[in-house]
Amino acid sequence: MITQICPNNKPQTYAPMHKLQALCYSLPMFLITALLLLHNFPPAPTAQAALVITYIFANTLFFLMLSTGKTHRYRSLFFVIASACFVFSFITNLIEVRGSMELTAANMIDGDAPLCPLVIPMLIIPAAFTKTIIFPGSMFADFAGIAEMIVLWLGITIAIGRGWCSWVCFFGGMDEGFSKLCKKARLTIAAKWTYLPHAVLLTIVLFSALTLSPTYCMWLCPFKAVTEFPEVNSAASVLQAIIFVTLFIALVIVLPIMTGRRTQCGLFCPFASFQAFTNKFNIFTVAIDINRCVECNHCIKTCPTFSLSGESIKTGQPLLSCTKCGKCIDACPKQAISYHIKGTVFKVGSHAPRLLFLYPAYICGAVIGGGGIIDTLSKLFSLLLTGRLFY
Amino acid sequence: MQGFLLGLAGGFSCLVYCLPSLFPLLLGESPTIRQTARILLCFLSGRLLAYTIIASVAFAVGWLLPGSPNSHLLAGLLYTGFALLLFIYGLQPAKHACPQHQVTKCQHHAILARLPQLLPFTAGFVGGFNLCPPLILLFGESAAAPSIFHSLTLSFTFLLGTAIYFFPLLSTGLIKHTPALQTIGKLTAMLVAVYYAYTGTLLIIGGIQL
Repeated sequence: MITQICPNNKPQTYAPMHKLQALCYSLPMFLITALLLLHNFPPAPTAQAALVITYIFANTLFFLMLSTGKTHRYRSLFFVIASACFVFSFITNLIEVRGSMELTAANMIDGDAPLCPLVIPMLIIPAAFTKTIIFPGSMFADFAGIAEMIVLWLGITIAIGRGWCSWVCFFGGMDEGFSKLCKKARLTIAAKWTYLPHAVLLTIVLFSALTLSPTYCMWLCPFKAVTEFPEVNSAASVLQAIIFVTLFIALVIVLPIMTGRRTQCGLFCPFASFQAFTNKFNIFTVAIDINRCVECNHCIKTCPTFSLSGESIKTGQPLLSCTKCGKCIDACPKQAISYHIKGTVFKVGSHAPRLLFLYPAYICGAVIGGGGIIDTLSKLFSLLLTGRLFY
Repeated sequence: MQGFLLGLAGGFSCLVYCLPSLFPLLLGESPTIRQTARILLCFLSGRLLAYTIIASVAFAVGWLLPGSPNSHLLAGLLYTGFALLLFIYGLQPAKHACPQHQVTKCQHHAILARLPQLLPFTAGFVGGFNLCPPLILLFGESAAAPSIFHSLTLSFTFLLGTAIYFFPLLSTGLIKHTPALQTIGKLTAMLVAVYYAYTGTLLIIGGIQL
């Protein structure tokens, strides 16, 4: 049994890399993110500064991820910041373009709503049977068009499966951020409730087929509270607004603080349920060496999305809902958990599977999350320098 | 023949209307194909009873047509009652959880113990009051039928026409019903109950639809 020792003498699964080695392994990331982020160099100096800062920030975190051997800490930092910036960027964009966060009937008729990936599971059945996309968005819009988002989602899903939820999703960082405020869990969740996302998915798919409308967006999405929401002009829309705000406070703020987990992602999000099935065919997984495992259950208590159970540990695999965030890998006191590529020989602490997973996962996260950070920073710089939030 | 063709023509939308209340029950139990067939039969019997009642009344007095305030109130009350049953069903632990505990508990709650058997019929009966477009046509035809016999025959043949679309659901009996699937079925039943409670309440207070 090989145990890696990190500088503070605390055993960890992945040995810290020598700085030069980490730098060499980071080079592909530096180049690819440069290609993807810098290809459209903006003319405004504030935007240029924002872009350069975001580029340096994202790549520094990746370098630290490799040089320290810790995955979760740096991923989480980027993920939470990207999510907060996404909210800021999205809301200010809406206010700039529409003057309000409200989605009016006219916006819907014009197909003016950007498609959010959470809608994808609801689109499939009505699209198959009625040849209709039940979403008030444009197929090829400049920003978040339906075709663009579906192609992005498909590509990223093929690459990292449900890794989407911990590396790319611009909503996931919100409950992850609030869960970090929990020092000690004051609430435990019964195992039964971890099936709730599947029930929500089944319910919204059935009702979307019945009503030919995106039921989740209209009635259940907590993130409507911080993005766009239907115009409040009737009793039904008041009820909708109350539901959105209540769910946001409960699932994204209060429960994560009380449990230390990502409760929206692990207990409610129907997209997470749908995305979990993509782990079936994705080559990257997290594996557990059952010979090393001493069943301390530390990983079960640590997992933010309730993806580990006593039974799953015995099989050497997390549950299908694993988001490959790396938290259990970093936390395991016996270094029994590791990234793994299906069909290869499992070796705990091997850098190759980790690196091969980190490249696509972090590229997707950095490019998609980076867009929000750049926009937020450039708006904040603009506010500081000119007193105006918008250009 | 007219009712049958009408059922065939609109059967798919009937299936879509009925699935939210039926599918959680098929998942929540762990039926074999035979038990699935029994659940479907109970469900269709419930619908037949609802159609028979509405078609008879529609023929006799001509006012209880879908869309009238009376039918809204009736549907609202039925939806709310059904939502309550569905919610209670969802709260009950799945059979696998602890068989001994389940038996003991059921002995004390005779109605709760029979809920899984009662619900498919109730779901069908309540579903019979769903205002789906082919049903509205059927009621129009029933009200204008020359005799009560014709009116009832129309309802029965309409049901037969739509029932064809329910046959594929028998295949859910082939699914290996794991405890996880049963739990998902029960939780879905609770969420669907919320929808019916909401729709029922709206129908009662104002006749507004979701």
